[in-house]
Amino acid sequence: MTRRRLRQANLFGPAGYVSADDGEVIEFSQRGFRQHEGLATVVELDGRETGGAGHTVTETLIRSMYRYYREVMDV
Amino acid sequence: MIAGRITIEDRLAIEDLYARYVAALDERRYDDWLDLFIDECRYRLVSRENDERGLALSLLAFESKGMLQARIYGIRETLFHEPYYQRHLIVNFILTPGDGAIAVQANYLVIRTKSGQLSEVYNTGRCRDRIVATPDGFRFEERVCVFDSELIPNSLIYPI
Repeated sequence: MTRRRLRQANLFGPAGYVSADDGEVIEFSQRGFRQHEGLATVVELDGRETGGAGHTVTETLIRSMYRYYREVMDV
Repeated sequence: MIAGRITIEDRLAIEDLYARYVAALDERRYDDWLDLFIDECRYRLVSRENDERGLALSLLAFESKGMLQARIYGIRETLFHEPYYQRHLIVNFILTPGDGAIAVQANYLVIRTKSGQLSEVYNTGRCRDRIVATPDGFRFEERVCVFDSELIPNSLIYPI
Protein backbone atom coordinates (compact mmCIF):
# COMPACT_ATOMS: atom_id res chain seq x y z
CA MET A 1 0.00 0.00 0.00
CA THR A 2 2.87 2.39 0.80
CA ARG A 3 4.28 1.72 -2.68
CA ARG A 4 0.93 2.52 -4.30
CA ARG A 5 0.58 5.71 -2.29
CA LEU A 6 4.12 6.79 -3.25
CA ARG A 7 3.36 6.21 -6.92
CA GLN A 8 0.16 8.18 -6.59
CA ALA A 9 1.98 10.97 -4.71
CA ASN A 10 3.98 11.69 -7.88
CA LEU A 11 0.82 13.40 -9.10
CA PHE A 12 0.65 15.90 -6.25
CA GLY A 13 2.74 18.53 -4.49
CA PRO A 14 5.17 21.07 -5.97
CA ALA A 15 6.72 18.48 -8.30
CA GLY A 16 3.47 16.64 -9.10
CA TYR A 17 2.27 15.85 -12.61
CA VAL A 18 -1.15 17.41 -12.02
CA SER A 19 -0.33 20.18 -9.56
CA ALA A 20 3.13 21.60 -10.38
CA ASP A 21 1.75 23.64 -13.26
CA ASP A 22 -1.26 24.76 -11.20
CA GLY A 23 1.20 26.47 -8.86
CA GLU A 24 3.02 28.01 -11.82
CA VAL A 25 -0.16 29.42 -13.34
CA ILE A 26 -1.36 30.77 -9.99
CA GLU A 27 1.98 32.58 -9.62
CA PHE A 28 1.55 34.15 -13.08
CA SER A 29 -1.98 35.20 -12.12
CA GLN A 30 -0.87 36.69 -8.79
CA ARG A 31 1.69 38.82 -10.61
CA GLY A 32 -1.08 40.02 -12.90
CA PHE A 33 -3.44 40.80 -10.02
CA ARG A 34 -0.89 42.98 -8.21
CA GLN A 35 -1.74 46.21 -9.95
CA HIS A 36 -1.55 48.52 -6.94
CA GLU A 37 0.11 48.10 -3.52
CA GLY A 38 -2.85 49.51 -1.58
CA LEU A 39 -5.69 47.92 -3.49
CA ALA A 40 -7.13 44.43 -3.70
CA THR A 41 -8.05 42.63 -6.90
CA VAL A 42 -11.11 40.44 -7.36
CA VAL A 43 -11.25 38.12 -10.32
CA GLU A 44 -14.68 36.80 -11.18
CA LEU A 45 -14.45 33.93 -13.61
CA ASP A 46 -17.83 33.95 -15.37
CA GLY A 47 -19.59 36.36 -12.98
CA ARG A 48 -21.07 35.70 -9.55
CA GLU A 49 -23.86 33.29 -10.29
CA THR A 50 -24.14 29.64 -9.33
CA GLY A 51 -26.19 28.33 -12.26
CA GLY A 52 -25.18 25.82 -14.90
CA ALA A 53 -22.92 26.69 -17.81
CA GLY A 54 -22.40 25.20 -21.27
CA HIS A 55 -18.63 25.60 -20.98
CA THR A 56 -15.88 25.06 -18.41
CA VAL A 57 -14.43 28.59 -18.33
CA THR A 58 -16.26 29.32 -15.11
CA GLU A 59 -15.90 29.05 -11.34
CA THR A 60 -19.58 28.27 -10.95
CA LEU A 61 -18.75 24.89 -9.37
CA ILE A 62 -16.72 26.46 -6.59
CA ARG A 63 -19.29 29.22 -6.04
CA SER A 64 -22.03 26.59 -5.93
CA MET A 65 -20.06 24.57 -3.41
CA TYR A 66 -19.72 27.60 -1.13
CA ARG A 67 -23.37 28.56 -1.63
CA TYR A 68 -24.37 25.08 -0.44
CA TYR A 69 -21.81 25.23 2.38
CA ARG A 70 -23.30 28.52 3.61
CA GLU A 71 -26.77 27.01 3.39
CA VAL A 72 -25.78 23.94 5.42
CA MET A 73 -23.82 26.00 7.95
CA ASP A 74 -26.67 28.49 8.21
CA VAL A 75 -24.49 31.52 7.42
CA MET B 1 36.94 -2.37 -9.79
CA ILE B 2 38.32 -4.67 -7.07
CA ALA B 3 35.71 -6.30 -4.80
CA GLY B 4 35.52 -4.73 -1.35
CA ARG B 5 37.63 -1.68 -2.06
CA ILE B 6 37.54 1.42 -4.15
CA THR B 7 40.53 2.20 -6.31
CA ILE B 8 41.62 5.68 -7.25
CA GLU B 9 40.41 4.90 -10.80
CA ASP B 10 36.95 4.06 -9.40
CA ARG B 11 36.84 7.33 -7.52
CA LEU B 12 37.78 9.30 -10.61
CA ALA B 13 35.25 7.40 -12.72
CA ILE B 14 32.49 8.00 -10.18
CA GLU B 15 33.27 11.71 -9.92
CA ASP B 16 33.17 11.77 -13.72
CA LEU B 17 29.76 10.06 -13.63
CA TYR B 18 28.46 12.85 -11.37
CA ALA B 19 30.01 15.51 -13.59
CA ARG B 20 28.22 14.04 -16.61
CA TYR B 21 24.99 13.71 -14.60
CA VAL B 22 25.12 17.38 -13.66
CA ALA B 23 26.06 18.53 -17.16
CA ALA B 24 23.21 16.53 -18.72
CA LEU B 25 20.63 17.99 -16.31
CA ASP B 26 21.91 21.57 -16.41
CA GLU B 27 22.04 21.48 -20.22
CA ARG B 28 18.61 19.78 -20.39
CA ARG B 29 19.99 16.74 -22.20
CA TYR B 30 17.49 14.43 -20.49
CA ASP B 31 18.11 11.41 -22.74
CA ASP B 32 21.79 11.57 -21.75
CA TRP B 33 20.69 11.88 -18.12
CA LEU B 34 18.55 8.76 -18.49
CA ASP B 35 21.49 6.78 -19.90
CA LEU B 36 23.31 7.16 -16.58
CA PHE B 37 20.80 4.90 -14.81
CA ILE B 38 20.44 1.13 -15.02
CA ASP B 39 16.98 -0.21 -16.01
CA GLU B 40 16.14 -1.42 -12.50
CA CYS B 41 16.79 1.92 -10.86
CA ARG B 42 15.20 4.00 -8.16
CA TYR B 43 15.08 7.76 -7.78
CA ARG B 44 13.70 9.67 -4.83
CA LEU B 45 13.59 13.32 -3.80
CA VAL B 46 12.48 13.64 -0.19
CA SER B 47 12.48 16.33 2.49
CA ARG B 48 14.86 15.96 5.39
CA GLU B 49 11.88 16.37 7.70
CA ASN B 50 10.28 13.19 6.36
CA ASP B 51 13.52 11.29 5.86
CA GLU B 52 14.69 11.74 9.45
CA ARG B 53 11.34 10.50 10.74
CA GLY B 54 11.49 7.46 8.49
CA LEU B 55 8.47 8.68 6.51
CA ALA B 56 8.45 7.59 2.89
CA LEU B 57 6.42 10.41 1.34
CA SER B 58 8.62 12.02 -1.32
CA LEU B 59 8.32 14.86 -3.81
CA LEU B 60 9.33 12.42 -6.52
CA ALA B 61 9.47 8.65 -6.12
CA PHE B 62 10.39 6.66 -9.21
CA GLU B 63 11.09 2.93 -9.16
CA SER B 64 12.22 2.19 -12.70
CA LYS B 65 13.88 3.77 -15.70
CA GLY B 66 10.43 3.88 -17.33
CA MET B 67 9.23 6.23 -14.60
CA LEU B 68 12.22 8.50 -15.22
CA GLN B 69 11.29 8.49 -18.91
CA ALA B 70 7.74 9.47 -17.98
CA ARG B 71 9.13 12.44 -16.08
CA ILE B 72 11.09 13.55 -19.13
CA TYR B 73 7.90 13.34 -21.17
CA GLY B 74 6.16 15.46 -18.54
CA ILE B 75 8.90 18.10 -18.67
CA ARG B 76 8.83 18.27 -22.47
CA GLU B 77 5.14 17.87 -23.21
CA THR B 78 2.72 18.27 -20.33
CA LEU B 79 4.06 20.38 -17.45
CA PHE B 80 3.35 24.02 -18.19
CA HIS B 81 5.90 26.17 -16.39
CA GLU B 82 8.06 29.25 -16.51
CA PRO B 83 11.42 28.00 -17.78
CA TYR B 84 14.49 28.30 -15.58
CA TYR B 85 18.14 27.34 -15.59
CA GLN B 86 19.43 24.87 -13.03
CA ARG B 87 23.05 24.79 -11.90
CA HIS B 88 24.07 21.79 -9.82
CA LEU B 89 27.09 21.52 -7.55
CA ILE B 90 27.76 18.11 -5.99
CA VAL B 91 30.72 17.97 -3.60
CA ASN B 92 32.30 16.25 -0.59
CA PHE B 93 32.03 12.67 -1.80
CA ILE B 94 32.17 9.79 0.66
CA LEU B 95 32.43 6.43 -1.12
CA THR B 96 31.77 3.20 0.72
CA PRO B 97 32.16 -0.21 -0.95
CA GLY B 98 29.26 -2.60 -0.46
CA ASP B 99 28.05 -5.88 -1.86
CA GLY B 100 27.52 -5.29 -5.57
CA ALA B 101 27.30 -1.52 -5.32
CA ILE B 102 29.23 1.48 -4.08
CA ALA B 103 27.37 3.74 -1.67
CA VAL B 104 27.96 7.43 -2.34
CA GLN B 105 27.12 10.30 -0.05
CA ALA B 106 27.66 13.89 -1.07
CA ASN B 107 26.32 17.39 -0.50
CA TYR B 108 24.43 19.02 -3.32
CA LEU B 109 23.36 22.55 -4.15
CA VAL B 110 21.04 23.57 -6.95
CA ILE B 111 20.89 27.20 -8.00
CA ARG B 112 17.94 28.39 -10.08
CA THR B 113 17.94 31.32 -12.47
CA LYS B 114 14.82 32.65 -14.10
CA SER B 115 14.83 35.04 -17.01
CA GLY B 116 15.53 38.61 -15.86
CA GLN B 117 16.05 37.60 -12.23
CA LEU B 118 18.99 37.03 -9.91
CA SER B 119 20.16 33.48 -9.31
CA GLU B 120 18.81 31.95 -6.10
CA VAL B 121 19.48 28.93 -3.94
CA TYR B 122 16.73 26.59 -5.06
CA ASN B 123 17.32 23.25 -3.40
CA THR B 124 20.14 21.94 -1.23
CA GLY B 125 20.78 18.82 0.76
CA ARG B 126 22.55 15.50 0.82
CA CYS B 127 22.42 12.67 -1.66
CA ARG B 128 22.66 9.02 -0.75
CA ASP B 129 23.21 7.04 -3.91
CA ARG B 130 24.15 3.55 -5.01
CA ILE B 131 26.47 3.14 -7.99
CA VAL B 132 27.05 -0.12 -9.85
CA ALA B 133 29.68 -1.17 -12.39
CA THR B 134 28.24 -2.09 -15.81
CA PRO B 135 29.91 -2.96 -19.14
CA ASP B 136 29.35 0.73 -20.07
CA GLY B 137 30.99 2.02 -16.89
CA PHE B 138 29.54 3.13 -13.56
CA ARG B 139 25.81 3.81 -13.49
CA PHE B 140 23.19 4.85 -10.93
CA GLU B 141 21.20 2.05 -9.37
CA GLU B 142 19.65 4.37 -6.82
CA ARG B 143 19.64 8.08 -6.28
CA VAL B 144 18.09 9.59 -3.15
CA CYS B 145 18.26 13.36 -2.63
CA VAL B 146 17.28 14.61 0.80
CA PHE B 147 16.68 18.35 0.78
CA ASP B 148 17.02 20.51 3.90
CA SER B 149 14.23 23.05 3.51
CA GLU B 150 10.58 22.16 4.08
CA LEU B 151 9.75 24.64 1.35
CA ILE B 152 10.03 24.45 -2.41
CA PRO B 153 9.78 27.85 -4.14
CA ASN B 154 6.45 27.10 -5.84
CA SER B 155 7.30 24.22 -8.14
CA LEU B 156 9.97 21.69 -8.99
CA ILE B 157 9.85 20.62 -12.62
CA TYR B 158 13.29 19.27 -13.52
CA PRO B 159 14.96 16.47 -11.56
CA ILE B 160 17.74 17.18 -9.06
